[in-house]
Amino acid sequence: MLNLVRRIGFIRLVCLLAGLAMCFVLLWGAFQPRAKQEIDPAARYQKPLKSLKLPSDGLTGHFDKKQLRRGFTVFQAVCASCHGANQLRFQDLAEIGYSKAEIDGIRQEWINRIPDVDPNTGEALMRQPNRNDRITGPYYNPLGSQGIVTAPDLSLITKARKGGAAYVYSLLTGYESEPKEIAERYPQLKTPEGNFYNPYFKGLHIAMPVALLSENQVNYEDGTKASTDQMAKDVTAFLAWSAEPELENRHRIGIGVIAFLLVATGLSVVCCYRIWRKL
Amino acid sequence: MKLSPPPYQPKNAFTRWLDDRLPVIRLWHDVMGKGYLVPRNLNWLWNFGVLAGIALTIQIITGLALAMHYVASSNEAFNSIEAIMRYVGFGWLIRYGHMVGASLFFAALYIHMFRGVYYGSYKAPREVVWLIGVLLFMLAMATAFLGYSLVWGQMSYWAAQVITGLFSVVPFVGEKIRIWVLGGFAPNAATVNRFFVLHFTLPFVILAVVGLHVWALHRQGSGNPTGIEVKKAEEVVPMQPYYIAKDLVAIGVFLLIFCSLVFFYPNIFTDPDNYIPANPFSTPAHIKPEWYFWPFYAVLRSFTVNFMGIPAKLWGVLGMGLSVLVWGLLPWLDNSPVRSGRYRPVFRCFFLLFMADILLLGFCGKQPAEEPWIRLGQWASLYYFAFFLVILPILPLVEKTKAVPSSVEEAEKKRTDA
Repeated sequence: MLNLVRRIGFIRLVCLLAGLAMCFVLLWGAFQPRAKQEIDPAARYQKPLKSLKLPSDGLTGHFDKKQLRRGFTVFQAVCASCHGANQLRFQDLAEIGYSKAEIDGIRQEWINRIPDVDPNTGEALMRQPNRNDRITGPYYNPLGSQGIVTAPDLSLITKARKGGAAYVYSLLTGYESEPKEIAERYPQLKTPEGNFYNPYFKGLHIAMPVALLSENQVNYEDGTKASTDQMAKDVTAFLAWSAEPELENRHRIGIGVIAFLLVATGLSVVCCYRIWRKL
Repeated sequence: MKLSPPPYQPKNAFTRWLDDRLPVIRLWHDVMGKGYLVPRNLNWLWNFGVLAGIALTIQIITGLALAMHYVASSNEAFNSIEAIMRYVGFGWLIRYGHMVGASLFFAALYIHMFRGVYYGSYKAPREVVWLIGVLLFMLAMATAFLGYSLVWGQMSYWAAQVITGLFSVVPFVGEKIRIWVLGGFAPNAATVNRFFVLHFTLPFVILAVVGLHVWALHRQGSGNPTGIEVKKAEEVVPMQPYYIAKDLVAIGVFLLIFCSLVFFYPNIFTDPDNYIPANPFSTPAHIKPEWYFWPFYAVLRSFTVNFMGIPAKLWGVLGMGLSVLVWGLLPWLDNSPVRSGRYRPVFRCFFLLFMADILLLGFCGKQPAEEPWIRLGQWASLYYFAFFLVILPILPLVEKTKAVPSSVEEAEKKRTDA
């Protein structure tokens, strides 16, 4: 025994004992009986996302400005009654083809007023948004909607949800009537009062009512037929742009950068080969 | 025997003048130039130290640019980052570069560390190089965590909550420490501010410690895949031009990967939840760290039972702490006289299993805290500790190693013949 201690060394012996202790605790834990796991029955009714193709997809994709404008039309007429896009400023709409006059029209009619102070009297007032004000929703609270569940801000939504744009599109077009089976088999899953059944939403019940109700709910200025599917696609495209307005630019520069790096790396390979060959 | 490299000789009046006053060119010559002799048989795994250095440089440069625009306040942090992405010239490039750079920094670090384990780089006479390396790894982990919190998205906030919560396991004063660290009962405005200060400062500490790492390395010179010390002048080449040229190729490939991610898949490593602003009243369903912490997170969650009067949570924190510290013990855990895994067939098997085990641990750490992932994580953690603390100390007593060639030259000749 003493011989073994001498062979293995004191430090290693201490570590060995500590290691065995760790292993024993883990082993003890591994063999503990587990509480029976509840399988969430809602997961059975959750549907995989619909596939969505946007013109901005892929490495060489481009935003379709006409579509983005249509998307903003939907956002303005439908979504904005509850949601904001507060990472965008009104002036950013110029990037998707709105003129200054149009932007002024939009901001003057916007649902939200901005709290401010009258420069002449010093009295508090609510003014129209300026061009550089955020596009906020009616429930916007600059200190965050702490603890109060409100409609989430949409400006980053395609980055903030798994599935991205496809998720938004699926959700918008995914409202269904609740399957009869649910009421029979899982009464606890019944859609609560004031909620709506949507198999693309986690937990199946969403507080948002069906937003895109009927054809021609909005008037497209470019004459495109405003079917519910078309509106959903357009507003999703707009939200994808609002989350990543730099996307086109990023891809375009990226292709140049990669091309340059390929050449530079190729040259460095040749250089390296020629240097080592001399050995 | 130490090989004597050619000393620096200033070529003209100016360099002679400068060399007498401030020998910076001499320093370069000795560290990165013709004066540093490197074994000529290094494989590509030896490039990852330099790559980690490149990643650190990218982090510091992009980080400085970000710090000029970031607002360290709980109300403004999230929005200020979005503003950087949208309204600062090439702000998206700076921010995505910093995000992807952090991941690639850890990728390079991990490969660098695994290389060290397989080829026995931690053994005498390079224990201090290794120890400083482990210190660097821990500093990098702290810095990465602090930086991730600064985003102040949902995952940032709850990561800060969970990690500072680890302090509360200290008996008696734990809760007090936690409140002191956070500057409040939960992550708050003071937390963002101090995390920003620390996140800004630590990289420069890291830079200084990298200096020590390189200094210690150059004292003994680089190891090589055979684990045999170089003895002859034919076994080495000067850093410049041979390894400078090779490093350039590695840097080119590294930048290709980096830029592909930054320009085309910038959010590939990130949880979508972190694009939701922090909300103290809404806990995400599955709180998980960034990928480079998954294995350690799995170890933390693997301790599920109170044992010997020590609560499970404390075991978890001890286990996770040990799972990092144990890397620093390596030079004393493994006293096999054979350095390289090439000549240790049994070690090689356990090492490959260990690599697979780390991947499994990472996978478990990614999953929600549910069965079967917890139990799987427990078995994976068990092997993790067993590898370091049981297998490595015992192995030299029982392992029959292959015959180690007498010189690097002979070893490489055998390899090319075979």
